[in-house]
Amino acid sequence: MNKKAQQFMNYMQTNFNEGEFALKELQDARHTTLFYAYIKVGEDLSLKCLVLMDDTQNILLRVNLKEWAVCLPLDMDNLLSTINQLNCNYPLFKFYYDVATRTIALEMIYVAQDDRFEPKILQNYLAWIIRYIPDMLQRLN
Amino acid sequence: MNKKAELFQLFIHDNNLQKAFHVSEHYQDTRNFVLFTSSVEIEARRLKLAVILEEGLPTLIRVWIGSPECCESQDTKKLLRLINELNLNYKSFKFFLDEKKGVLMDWINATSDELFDPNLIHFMLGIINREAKTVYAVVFQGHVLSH
Repeated sequence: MNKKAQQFMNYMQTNFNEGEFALKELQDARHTTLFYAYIKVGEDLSLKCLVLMDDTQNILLRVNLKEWAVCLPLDMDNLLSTINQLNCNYPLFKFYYDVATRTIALEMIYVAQDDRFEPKILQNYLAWIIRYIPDMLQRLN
Repeated sequence: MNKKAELFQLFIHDNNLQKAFHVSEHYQDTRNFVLFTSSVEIEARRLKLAVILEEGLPTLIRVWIGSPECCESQDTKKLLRLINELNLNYKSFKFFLDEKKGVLMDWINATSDELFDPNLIHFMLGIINREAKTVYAVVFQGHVLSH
């Protein structure tokens, strides 16, 4: 396991509920570790959340706001305009539509070397995302 | 001046980079931020670049890839599709059209004052200098995105 993932695991033990994240370690040269969670939005909606850490200084946080979003060509222009508005209004996060997977994703990259990694920052980001997800989804609907 | 800006200014001084940046301090409501402005040179053009350092966690480097005047002749729908492609392909950067219809490229990070690393900003400026040229060519010169 890479060092940042180990730090994050240690931090989770005291700062997250047990079992909140599922973990998967890839057997690759970069020692990639994936943390999966579901963000519950209301009674019947949960959004997939992924945190990816490896030996590089980049940590990826992604939330799938909509999966299998079917976009007719005519709707695509409206969708991309709404996504651009989200990009304007939420400066910390990036939003895009992945045509291949039909997913509207929210992403951020947190850049930190092992000795400067602060797990609390990831927790802060997650808290911000959870706070603003209802607004984001409302705009996308 | 906030702590991160102080550290970056010291880095600039220690590395003799004073001529590369214009420094200005701003107050907006209760928010204090410092702009270190510079540019990316592309052929005869200079794209504005700013390192924005403020109190709190976020750190931002912004490049104005295309001014509203540059984008005037572009089809907005086509531009938004291209921006979406850029956001999909460049993991480290965020692209969007601002309210004035200019194309912006942002690098965003978060650090506490204690762990702020001016070397990382300097390293990213090198990458941004290279990638902004590629992005400019894709947006305004019809180059194919091959990232």
